[in-house]
Amino acid sequence: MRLRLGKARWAALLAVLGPGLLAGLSDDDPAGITTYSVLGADHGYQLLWVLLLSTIALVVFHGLAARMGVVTGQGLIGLVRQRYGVRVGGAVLAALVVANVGTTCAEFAGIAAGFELFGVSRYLSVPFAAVAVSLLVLRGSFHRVERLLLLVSTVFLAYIVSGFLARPDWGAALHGTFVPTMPMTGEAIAIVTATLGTTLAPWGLSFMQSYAVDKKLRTEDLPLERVDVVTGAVLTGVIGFFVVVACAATLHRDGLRISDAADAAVALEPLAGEAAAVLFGVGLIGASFLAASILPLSTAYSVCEYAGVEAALDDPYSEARTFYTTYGVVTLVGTVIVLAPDVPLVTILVGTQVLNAVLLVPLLIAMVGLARDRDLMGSFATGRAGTLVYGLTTAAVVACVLTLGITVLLS
Amino acid sequence: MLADVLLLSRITGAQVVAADGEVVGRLADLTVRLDGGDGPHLVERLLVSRHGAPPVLLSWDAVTNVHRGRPVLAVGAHGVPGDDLYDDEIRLARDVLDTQVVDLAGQRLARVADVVLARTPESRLEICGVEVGFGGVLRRLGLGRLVPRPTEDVVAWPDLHLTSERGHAVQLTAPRAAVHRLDARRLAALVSRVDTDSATEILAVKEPSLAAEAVAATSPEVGERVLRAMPAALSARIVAAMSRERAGRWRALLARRPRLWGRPLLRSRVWPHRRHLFRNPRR
Repeated sequence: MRLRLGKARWAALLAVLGPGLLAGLSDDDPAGITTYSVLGADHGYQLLWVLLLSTIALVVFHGLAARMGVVTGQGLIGLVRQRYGVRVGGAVLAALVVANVGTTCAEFAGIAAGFELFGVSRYLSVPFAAVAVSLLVLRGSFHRVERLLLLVSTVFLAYIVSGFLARPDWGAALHGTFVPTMPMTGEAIAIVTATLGTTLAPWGLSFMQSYAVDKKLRTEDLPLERVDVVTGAVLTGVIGFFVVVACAATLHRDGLRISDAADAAVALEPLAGEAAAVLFGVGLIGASFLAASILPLSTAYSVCEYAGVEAALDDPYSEARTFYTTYGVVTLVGTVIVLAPDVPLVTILVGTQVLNAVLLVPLLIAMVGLARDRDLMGSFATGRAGTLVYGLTTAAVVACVLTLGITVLLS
Repeated sequence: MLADVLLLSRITGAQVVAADGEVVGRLADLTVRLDGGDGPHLVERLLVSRHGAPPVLLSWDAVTNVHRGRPVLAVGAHGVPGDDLYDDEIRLARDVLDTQVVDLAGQRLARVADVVLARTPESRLEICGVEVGFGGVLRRLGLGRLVPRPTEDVVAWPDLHLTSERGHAVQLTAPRAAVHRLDARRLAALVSRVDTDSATEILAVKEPSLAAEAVAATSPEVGERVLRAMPAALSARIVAAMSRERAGRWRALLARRPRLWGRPLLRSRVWPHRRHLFRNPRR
């Protein structure tokens, strides 16, 4: 793709930017940051190549989601219903909604943990965040929401700074990124699968496609939309890289183990300085806030597409009740579960991760089928070469999920 | 629901049998011609899928009756290859069911939950309209009991614009299609709801004066988006058909760079429920 970025081209690129960046960066949610932290703390620089693979998978499938949205003018769940019928569509939607509600809990749990690092009670921070994300969507126009979310996503720079402050061994980091080695232990297999699973999430795919539709992108915008997708995916990988590097340079070096991202922020303080720890905590809060805004949005898009009451961010409540009600219910349920004293949050979060990984497999297969359908995609339908690329990527994800399943069963 | 009303989702998948009772295959789809003369829109052909053989299209005239939901074929009925559609012919299950449609009367974007058919006294099937909304989806999922009250929300066939690839394309070339009967205001409502490429294709087949009126009736953001997406010669023709003052404003606007964040994002408007069709399917 040759792009001559004159002033007009830059203007067009800025107009198109958004879906890829937001869908990609929101994949670096608390679950993602936790996974990267554990990857770095437990295995140092050795498994950094997994981030390279997951970034490639993200480019491939987020690009496909954007293309399907732009060409068909429909979101992913709507297309699944159209192509595979109401039963398959309903089953995918039901699994997606359950997984999204669980993931929303993870995002609010991330907000709670992030603010608690700074001494703010979760009973203040979580309701505040729930109200803030709801107001953002309910009161804002599409472009205002998009700009605010893109602004929030700049908080991810904190992880990059944090990574530099940890003074990593850059040679070892580059070696780990481009020379794959794999310790054949159940723990290593689990963390590799989790890294792929948290980066390429079902809700991210459905959000990517719906958002490209909502933005009314055109087929002429596709080359620039690819830039958006690649930028979002690469930034997602780069942020993950710096999280791993920060933890590898400090926690792994000193043999410290962690169980979540908040642990990592606390553990970083004596090793990389207060600034690194504060930045890590700020990054966690920002990442949680971004994903907590996007998860209910992705769910609302999907429910409306399936129910046949298509709606958009610019629609007022009176005309898009299903859309806003879904958004509100998902946010409320996520908030209540995180704040409820006796709810087994860890079980919910682990179950959600598993459901996301399992759901990813049929969703990717469905996407490949949709992409090949000439009735839907016309001249933009995927040919043999494209099918091979999507098939190989899907096979890699399927292999990871199966390996993880076998590992869990054996253990 | 009236006894002579059929729903597409209930009859597709049924066995198609020959006059001697032998099973020929299964009913995969029904077709309709969008430009088939005056009068009601009737089912033209049935697509029959066969075990171990390619699907065939059979004229509905070859169906002698529908016995227990199974079409019975006349002796000697012959089909043509399944993909051999007329230029103005669409498949209801593929091109309509579960796809997005624009309800031109209600001015809304909706998804088809079912296609409503009615038996005519001449043993033909007339296409009355499409059911939209979640009630029909629940019924197809076998969860009809969850619908607290009848929620039939049916859009009449003449009030539809199909957005599926073939449905949209065939409608643009079929003079009898609804898109060719719209005044400027309703045309503006349609182009505001479909994707940009479809909107430009719709305006491209209109007289420049009508297209110009439609552009004037849309919001400025929609008008700008659609005119910018057109080939320059086409947008110039439409602008030239406007009043001198308005044409001057549009030319000045289109000569400027597009605003970075100015894309309109409206996909839905107005959600009236209309239930008359089930009570009067031959409307």
